[in-house]
Amino acid sequence: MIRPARRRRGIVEALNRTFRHWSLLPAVLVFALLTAYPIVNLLRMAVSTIEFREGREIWSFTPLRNWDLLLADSALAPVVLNTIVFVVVAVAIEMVAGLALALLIGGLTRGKAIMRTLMIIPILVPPVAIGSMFKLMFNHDFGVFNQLLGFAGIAPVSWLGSTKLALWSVIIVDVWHWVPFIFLILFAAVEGLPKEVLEAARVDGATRGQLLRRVTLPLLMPALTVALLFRAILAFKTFDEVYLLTGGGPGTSSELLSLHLYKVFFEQNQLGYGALLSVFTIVGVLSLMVLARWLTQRWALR
Amino acid sequence: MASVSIRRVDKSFGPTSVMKGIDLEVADGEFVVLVGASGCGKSTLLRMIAGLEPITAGEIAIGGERVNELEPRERDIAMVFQSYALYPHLNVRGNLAFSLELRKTPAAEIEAQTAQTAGVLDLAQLLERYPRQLSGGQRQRVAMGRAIVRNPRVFLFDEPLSNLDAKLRIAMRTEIRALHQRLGATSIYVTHDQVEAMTMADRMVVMNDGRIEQIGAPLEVYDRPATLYVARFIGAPSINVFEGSVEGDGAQARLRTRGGQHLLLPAGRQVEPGRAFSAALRPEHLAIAADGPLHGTVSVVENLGHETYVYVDTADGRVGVLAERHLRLPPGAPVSLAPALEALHLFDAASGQRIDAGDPR
Amino acid sequence: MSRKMSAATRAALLGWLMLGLALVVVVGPFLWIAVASFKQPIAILSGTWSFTPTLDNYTDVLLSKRSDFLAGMRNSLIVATVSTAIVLVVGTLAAYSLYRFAWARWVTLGFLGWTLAFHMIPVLTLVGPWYLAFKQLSLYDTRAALILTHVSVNLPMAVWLMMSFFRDLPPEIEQAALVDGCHPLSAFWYVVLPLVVPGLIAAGVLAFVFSWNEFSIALNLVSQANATVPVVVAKFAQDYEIQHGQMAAASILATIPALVLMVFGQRFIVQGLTMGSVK
Repeated sequence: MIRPARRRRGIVEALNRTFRHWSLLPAVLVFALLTAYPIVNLLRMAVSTIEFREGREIWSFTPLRNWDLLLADSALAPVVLNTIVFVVVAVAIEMVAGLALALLIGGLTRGKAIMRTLMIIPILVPPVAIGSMFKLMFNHDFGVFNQLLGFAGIAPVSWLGSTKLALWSVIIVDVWHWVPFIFLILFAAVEGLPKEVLEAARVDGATRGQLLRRVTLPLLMPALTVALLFRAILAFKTFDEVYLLTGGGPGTSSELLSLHLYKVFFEQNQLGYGALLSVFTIVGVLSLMVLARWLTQRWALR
Repeated sequence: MASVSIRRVDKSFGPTSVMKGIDLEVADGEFVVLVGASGCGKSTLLRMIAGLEPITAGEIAIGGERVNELEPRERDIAMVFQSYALYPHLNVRGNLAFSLELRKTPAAEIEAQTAQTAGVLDLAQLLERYPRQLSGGQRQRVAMGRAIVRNPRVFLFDEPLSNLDAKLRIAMRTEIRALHQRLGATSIYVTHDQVEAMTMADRMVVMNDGRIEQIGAPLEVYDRPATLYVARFIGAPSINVFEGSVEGDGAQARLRTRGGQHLLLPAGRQVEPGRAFSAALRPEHLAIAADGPLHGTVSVVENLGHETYVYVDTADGRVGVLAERHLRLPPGAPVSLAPALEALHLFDAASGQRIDAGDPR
Repeated sequence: MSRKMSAATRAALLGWLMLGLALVVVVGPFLWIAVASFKQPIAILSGTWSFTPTLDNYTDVLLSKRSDFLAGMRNSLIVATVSTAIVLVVGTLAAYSLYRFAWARWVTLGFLGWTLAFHMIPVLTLVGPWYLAFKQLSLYDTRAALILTHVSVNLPMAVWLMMSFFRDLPPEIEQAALVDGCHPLSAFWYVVLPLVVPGLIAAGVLAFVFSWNEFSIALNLVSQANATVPVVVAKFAQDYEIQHGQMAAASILATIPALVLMVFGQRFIVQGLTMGSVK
């Protein structure tokens, strides 16, 4: 004889039954309200002009005007070019340096812990502080870089004031900031390499160079890909250091995409045009992300 | 303590059905072992009893009360996991006391219960240690202690001895059995090891591919396997199987194996001529004889100390025979084997079902 | 034989060289700035290495009337603490929910995909709409606005990090808790959470540091009264461009929280950073 079971009622039971829902809800709300909704708003803004009169917002529907602003924006082309150059060069340097460091430090028996501790510092320092520090270091008259050049007998260089060098100065700062990050990721991967595989290769007669090219690097491919993609896409977001170091100058020689957005939004107060630029930026970045994903998947199948 | 009823239980994962029509009645205080190969569904069934896995159809009742809709905590059961699943952040005392603290048991009682359980399982010295400081055997005892400490209606064991080394496993087997006799608790025990099943069970449930092949007391299952699968699964070394068909009729009826050998039908068995069968004989039911119906050459001899097994290559494959120690049998020597026909098991070749009346179920 | 040995020692030597180089490159700037922060203006301009140290720069930055540094630190502390607390609670719950409760594929992939996408786009693209929205809600120029935006910016990292920690837990421990008498909620609180404390620390430290360091949002959504430390430092660098000593001092002061946290939680941080990005 089987009796039916008794169910318990009460608030605790109700909370438990709905746990799966209310645990996810806050995060969904945060994203919906603070990210999805603003992005939808961006689309609205991109086709409007927004002016402030007497403290009130006035919206007017002006899609063509924003397009004209875009086409007339003489700074846009150099900015996009700068950004692409910046991302490609900086990330390339960071990947090579990070990999070299990871491989070389990985071969040490002691000192690894110190290295790890050391390399966290640049990641935790406020980018603004990095910018102001390097601004001082790049100073034409007393900055340490020109002092060092002076020791080598070279004339002082205008790091931040020369249109040719300004972008390079930004790249240098970015490299200082992010090589440690790449190092940490690749170092973890190097530490995780299967030692027996490497030993087997050496027993098989591989030289150091061959070992590197044919065994180590292929094994590191997944980590390298992740680090590269991650860093490349993050590089598009660079803002803090550039703002501090050069403010985009001289002229637009070191102006990057994020900085240009800032200027359009908050210096020129062109909220509509800025939104249009934002939309293009978002689409561009996401497309790159999808493209990169697709490429790596195709490559992984080879 | 309580009985466990499993009636017409089905289980599907999405569209895939893994179990159909499972019926099992476990009596109060019984030690039932679910045994079968990996993937046969025994662990899934155990987890359905525990409430960790939803039941697709059918009914499970504990102590006469339907538990399908009840959460694990409401079923008053305890479970010992294969990996022990001790709480790493609590010491042994904390692990033992955890369930009692959840029920807001008064501190004095928790103390008493914990101490008593620790005493029973010889854990008194280890109460302050943490799981990572314990050996495999010690962890296993803590896992059992955690189950015992609150006196549940039913104990569930999910292959608790699989992670122990062989010697320890044998020692723990007897301990679990002794514990059961002492506590008299209804226990359902899952294992893939048929030796564990044979030595520990009051009744065995042999499972295969989501179905119950046979339920019965160990010796019953050993002596009268209901299907070929059960015959093969239970008993080590494995039973010898001969496939073939029936020749002749009435008193002349004999079994003709695929290898061309002949076995007489045991007295009293009626089988129609031409019927395809699988015949099975345990190694202890074959003997090396001067002349016998089966012939072959010696392949391998295994001396286990208390027993000697001789493996003979015949026209029907390799046959294992329990032999006398003193026989000198070099590899390649020709031998003939005589069966103990009254112990011959006959199974229908197609269905694997035992051929004769009255399968115990 | 000797050639093979020297190749190995060569590599080790190179490794040590790299370590030394890294040490110089990473720590060098701080040393130089620290030295500069103790110099008188004249000493800075002449670039001399022997000078009489002074604390004037620091007192100027921290205590002078025209400096908002201390106010900035208070604002940063409030914003970072509150936003980190919210991020930890919301993020951990969401991560647990996704990991444990077998949501439909589109829910999990959609949520995680959105967090990834959002993490990738430049924050400044959203500052515009945020600016308008907060103005409408009268939340413009409040710490609440910063807290809300920082939460949304740091939530992806927290969710990904906590999910990887949850995945490392053996599922049977939770099941044991359920059998022992736990509700799903008590199992989460008494058994799961204690076991992911390292993850909580990593996520907490990272969320705190990133909120403290955050600049582009703070620059545009708050005014001087509610400015955070990075904004104050930036202002220093611009307004008082010729006050190099103060700039150096401000930079050093702004870096101190990061260094403190590093000493305290570096093991967790490394785990968090590498796990968080390698997914």
